[in-house]
Amino acid sequence: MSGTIHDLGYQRYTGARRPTSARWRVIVRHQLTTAWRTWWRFKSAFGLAVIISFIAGGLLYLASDKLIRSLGSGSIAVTFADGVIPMAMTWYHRAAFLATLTITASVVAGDLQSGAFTLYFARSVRPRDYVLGKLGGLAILTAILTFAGPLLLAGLRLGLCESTEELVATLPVLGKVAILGAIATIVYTVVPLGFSALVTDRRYALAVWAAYYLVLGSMALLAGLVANHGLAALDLPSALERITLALFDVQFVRGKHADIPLATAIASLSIHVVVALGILGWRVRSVRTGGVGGSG
Amino acid sequence: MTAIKAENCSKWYGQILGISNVTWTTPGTTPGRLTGGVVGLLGPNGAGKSTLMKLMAGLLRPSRGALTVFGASPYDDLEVRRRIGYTPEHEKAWDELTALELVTVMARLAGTPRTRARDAAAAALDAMGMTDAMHRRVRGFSKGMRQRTKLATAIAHGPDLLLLDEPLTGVDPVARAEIIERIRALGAAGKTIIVSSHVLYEIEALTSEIVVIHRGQVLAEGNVFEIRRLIDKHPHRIRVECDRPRAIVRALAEADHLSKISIDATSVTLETRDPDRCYDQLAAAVLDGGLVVRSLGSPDNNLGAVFDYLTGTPR
Repeated sequence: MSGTIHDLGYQRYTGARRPTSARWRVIVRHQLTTAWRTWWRFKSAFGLAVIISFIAGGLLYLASDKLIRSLGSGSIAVTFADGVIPMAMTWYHRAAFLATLTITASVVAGDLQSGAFTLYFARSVRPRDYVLGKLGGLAILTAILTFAGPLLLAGLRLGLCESTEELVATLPVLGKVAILGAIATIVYTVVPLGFSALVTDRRYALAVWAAYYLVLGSMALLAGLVANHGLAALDLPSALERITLALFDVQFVRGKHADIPLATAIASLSIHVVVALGILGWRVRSVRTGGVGGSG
Repeated sequence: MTAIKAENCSKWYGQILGISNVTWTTPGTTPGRLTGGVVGLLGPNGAGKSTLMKLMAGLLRPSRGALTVFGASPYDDLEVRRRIGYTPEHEKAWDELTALELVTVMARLAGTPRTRARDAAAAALDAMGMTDAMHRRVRGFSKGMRQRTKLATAIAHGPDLLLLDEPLTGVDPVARAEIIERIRALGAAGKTIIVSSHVLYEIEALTSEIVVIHRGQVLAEGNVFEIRRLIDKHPHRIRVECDRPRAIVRALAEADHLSKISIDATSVTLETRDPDRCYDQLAAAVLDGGLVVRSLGSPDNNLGAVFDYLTGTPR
């Protein structure tokens, strides 16, 4: 190749290139940018998470108030405060579900419909860069809802401790919140992303995901209540709540999730994640090998 | 080095043929040096142009044969793909971004570092005459502005080869002229550019080097004027709709260049081997006879007729 420099009418970029292995980070950043762009995509779920944080934070603050503690026995107030965080987590999961409806569950189908795969693969992007980039970007968004919020509450809970003994006794809440936050982040990122790769129309992808989560989940929960408790683990929020109960050792008023065997809940979530990853990988590989778009 | 080389390249989509046994090398290249220039890839809808473009862009792998870009497979070689700027015909991705954001992310996906991508994107948009609109969202753009933005995404990372799939489709005449001007400028400046179109005059405005593709095969390649001359040798049809078609027949009945005349109540179709003479005599007949002409056109004056001629399909 000759080293001839042509006048292209603009400054041609001739500097260093980023290695291909770093492409996924460009996709992560792009995912974050586009998600934040319109109010209804991520901001709605984020707003809900902020409201949950304010309410739960207020309840935590009230529970630590000397007057409230003096009304009953101190231990009851402390127990209530300990229950606020796991209770709030179930609401954070609802915010995460909202984000799956506005972003995650239509990502791959949307890219297929809009022709974005053409733009990715016509450049030096590999299928694994795409998968990693999408997973990374969506995981960060989901973690803001399912990880950052609860962690903030846990920090507040620790900050409201009145004694060193109480602080030491409460410290494990940080670890519990981190574990649950990580599990919820993985579930609410990977599973809807897998559903988004299941069909090629973004509206159908959304509909299938919503039906699976809401309708099929409720049916599984009902079946679990009347027949086999293990079946209820197919309901994603119930499986997550079961793990929450086990970690925080609290019992919610409804109490129905306590009957799901913990191992079954963990297995259900793991299977969901593995299957979703499989679908995602299959779709992206097939788009790459089968070609983007049709003939013409 | 040859920019693009296809050897017995075929692509099927299941049982549907995309392209078949294409052997072709980009013209205008000399050993050891890229001279650039624009090549028009011409064919009717469904001919296989987009398939060939996608094969060149590395979006598809040949089912049989080989296609190389700068000596390597664009499908397998990421480094080669970095040297390609591709604009698909249809895509509605990321309309919520501004033009600058869109071009920046495309440049970054092609490997331009973040610190330089924005400047490179702004320069590319500037070169496409989009400076004033670069901070506006793509969603609100006209078709012409979208096409110019797509061109900017193709050139922002400084590729050596541009693949433009139907870049003039749906563009208004003013924007069309601007885009043609910019593509020609890029070609003249040393880029190797492949432009696909199903409209002959669009390609003629861009370049004289064409490849005619039909039913997945390369039908003709070379200088557009030579191909046009070849086409002009075959009988050319002229259809006139007027109030008294018989008057035209009477006036031109003795013309030796006419091989066939068809007439009905409202029109006459002439088949001639000398279109220039025929048009002159036709004009004279209309003026002399005081005829009222409702329409005048040539069913052959389109690419379909060219293909029919080249493939020998009866019309």
